[in-house]
Amino acid sequence: MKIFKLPAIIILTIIISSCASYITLDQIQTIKRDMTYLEVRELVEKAPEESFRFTSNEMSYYVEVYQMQTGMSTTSTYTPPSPGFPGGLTSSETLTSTADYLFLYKEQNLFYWGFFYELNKSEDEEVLKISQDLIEAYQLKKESVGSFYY
Amino acid sequence: MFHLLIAILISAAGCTGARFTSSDISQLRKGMSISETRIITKTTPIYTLSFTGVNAPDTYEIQVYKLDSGGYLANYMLAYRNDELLYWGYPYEFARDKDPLLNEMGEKVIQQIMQYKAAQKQINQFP
Repeated sequence: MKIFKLPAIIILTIIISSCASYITLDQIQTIKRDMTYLEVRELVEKAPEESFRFTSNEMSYYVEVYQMQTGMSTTSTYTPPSPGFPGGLTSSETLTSTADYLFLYKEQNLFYWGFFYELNKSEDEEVLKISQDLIEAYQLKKESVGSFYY
Repeated sequence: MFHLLIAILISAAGCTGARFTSSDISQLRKGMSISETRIITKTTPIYTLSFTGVNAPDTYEIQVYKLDSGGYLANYMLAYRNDELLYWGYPYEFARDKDPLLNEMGEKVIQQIMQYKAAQKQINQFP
């Protein structure tokens, strides 16, 4: 049957991330301090994956968390020849790696943004002071739904 | 702060097969010259912007590279003052920094990139 006369190698690419639930670094390159959360959402064209409020040093903060693309990896699998695929089958799968990325608002204005792992090395004194409370608040938020990447 | 834009150079990087990756970043040091960083980045920047201030003799240059993380490419910038590496990072890091000089440098180069891309898009619409 003609249908079985396939090329020796069939490249099948499955892009897991086709329904892109993440944002990219290039999407946020025009973000500026003091933007509102609505302006940020307009730029990234997505609603956050998580949002929460927390208090630290008697100041209230609002946080929105997105998944940020940090890399890609491709794995290839070769399946030996079979009656249906006389030349064998090579399939490749591209996976997108992501990490939690936060936008921190104080009095409705963007105050800080970055990966969670950047919080403890911030040059901003206020960010350093509140970072532990922020991380703990996020852990509490995530505990009910699953994994926490930090 | 910057009043005069001297030059914008746009080149096609990546033709050599060389890649600028996350592991290369750890080799960068403040004060390095452009020729020294070029050895580390192994590739040419996709954009270069040079500035000079009207009231100061200092010259500034920002180079934009594509940082490769397993095939995921994102803009990554190296900023120099008088041919000495001053700061480096993703555009969001320039925007987030408390130094208004870095904020402005980052903003200018991103604006230029976006204008260039918009112009390219228009050109492509008229074959």
